Amino acid sequence: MQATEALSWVNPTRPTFLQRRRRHTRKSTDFLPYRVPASCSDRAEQRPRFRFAFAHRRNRNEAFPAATLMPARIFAFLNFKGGVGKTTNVVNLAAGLAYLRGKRVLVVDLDAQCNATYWLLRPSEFKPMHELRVDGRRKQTTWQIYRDALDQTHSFDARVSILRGVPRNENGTELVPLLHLLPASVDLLDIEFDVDSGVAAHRLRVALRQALEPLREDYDFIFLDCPPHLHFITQSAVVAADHLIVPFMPDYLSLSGFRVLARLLKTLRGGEPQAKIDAVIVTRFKKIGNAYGAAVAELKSLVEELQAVQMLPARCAVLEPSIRDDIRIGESASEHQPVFMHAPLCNAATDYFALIGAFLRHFPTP
Amino acid sequence: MTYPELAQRLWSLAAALETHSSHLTGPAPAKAAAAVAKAAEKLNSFLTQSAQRNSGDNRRLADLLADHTDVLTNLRLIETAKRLHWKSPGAKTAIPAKVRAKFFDLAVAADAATAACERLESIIRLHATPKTDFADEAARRAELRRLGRLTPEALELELDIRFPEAELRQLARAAGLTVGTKESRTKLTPRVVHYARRHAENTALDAGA
Repeated sequence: MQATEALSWVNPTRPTFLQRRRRHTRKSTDFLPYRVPASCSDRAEQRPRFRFAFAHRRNRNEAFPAATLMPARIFAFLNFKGGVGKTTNVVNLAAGLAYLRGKRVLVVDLDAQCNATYWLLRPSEFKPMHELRVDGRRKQTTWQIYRDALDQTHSFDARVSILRGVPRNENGTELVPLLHLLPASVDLLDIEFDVDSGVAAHRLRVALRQALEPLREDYDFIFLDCPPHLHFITQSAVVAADHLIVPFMPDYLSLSGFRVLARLLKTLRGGEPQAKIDAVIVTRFKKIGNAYGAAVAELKSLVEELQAVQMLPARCAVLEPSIRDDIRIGESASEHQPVFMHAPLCNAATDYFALIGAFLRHFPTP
Repeated sequence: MTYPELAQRLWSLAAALETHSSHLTGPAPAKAAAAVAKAAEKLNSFLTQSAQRNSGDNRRLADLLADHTDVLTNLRLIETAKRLHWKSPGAKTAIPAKVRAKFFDLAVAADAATAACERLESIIRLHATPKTDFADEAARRAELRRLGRLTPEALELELDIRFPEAELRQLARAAGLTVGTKESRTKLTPRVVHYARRHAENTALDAGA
């Protein structure tokens, strides 16, 4: 008996320790909460575990039952501190809602740096767009909305200006058919300098709201990517928006900026109906030491303090999870894709998947 | 014979001795006088000690120890003695009355009854404060902000008295700190003090521009 047991050690058919271990080790893809149908054509959707998440998308491509439609809600992503992740959040949340949850989303780029535009359009698409002329004028961007307001003209035509199904691959195939973009142009820089009177300033403030109002029926969400300041264009976004979302980088400078922003927003809208900060999204989070965790705890505390003095609404929340700092985000901008399409297994993609759920729970849709 | 009667008798003895001391001769009165002097010296030391124990702060300390036996447990008295850099007044499991007596003796010997009284009074006051509800994360952060507004000494004292180790860990986590399972209370307390103060300062509404 003992001899038989001893022989089992040298049995050549017995799997080795490493083979046994490999068999029981889960792959990294096993931890993903999403699945795609096998019939999907693109690389991400071919992963068997994506099937669940893309189920909505299939339904959304069908005709919408009229009863479930409601006018779009407009979200302005703003923070007068630069580099906090306004564009990153706009692009990835919008693309995620459209691609994974089948929502109709319009991204409106209001930043003269055109970051959201550059992210979602390939250079080969962007250049012709600028060179293209409609009725002798340059192809319309958000700049036209403000130019009309200043000149008191009505040149802006949303049907011509909105780019449907962005981003697109090299062949021009729409990667996210439900994601639309109203691009920006560098000319937006001039708009601020052309405001010569209080009347013009008021026209500028309400221009975006008037331009977006007819588009509400066509979308579930409209995301405004604001520039990193609080001048007229950002003020117009605040007037146009139903909800304000503040991307936040966990450090003290952002915290003090957030406090000032909450204070300024009280006076920013003047007589217009008040949109308040409804959510904060923490970006560029690093789980190293205590620095970032402590900064997020301080942010939550500040939100509670501001709620106590009614400078923030009670519904304002810090959405979880925080988006971890990830080099793949930078890469995905260069690839002109949302991060979860470029690198679906990276930390940032996983965080955005979870954040989309948190976003929809916080802002429920029918 | 009562002590007042003895005092009266000593007064009359002192007066008689002063008047007739020149008439005393021989070894017997000298021997009796030496015995009285020795007894007087002993009685004087008792009187001094008693007077010291019954001075303002010592009396207050004795009263505190006698009146708050439920709050001033052996553990708290031992911790207080440690904090005041005294010897330990006894073991955790010793008879409480003995620990209290030893604590009082240590306070009198160190002439630090005032400091001991202040600390024990803080303990009694904080013990009467209602407990924080630690179930809610927002409540934990609110508590952190409140603690952060205290002076470092008061904050440390409150952490010592009101927060058992488990709650101190929860408080640290509410401040966004990573707390190791083996991190001792001694190491954790200064971190919580620092971060609570920073938390309160950074989240004050009137801070910054």
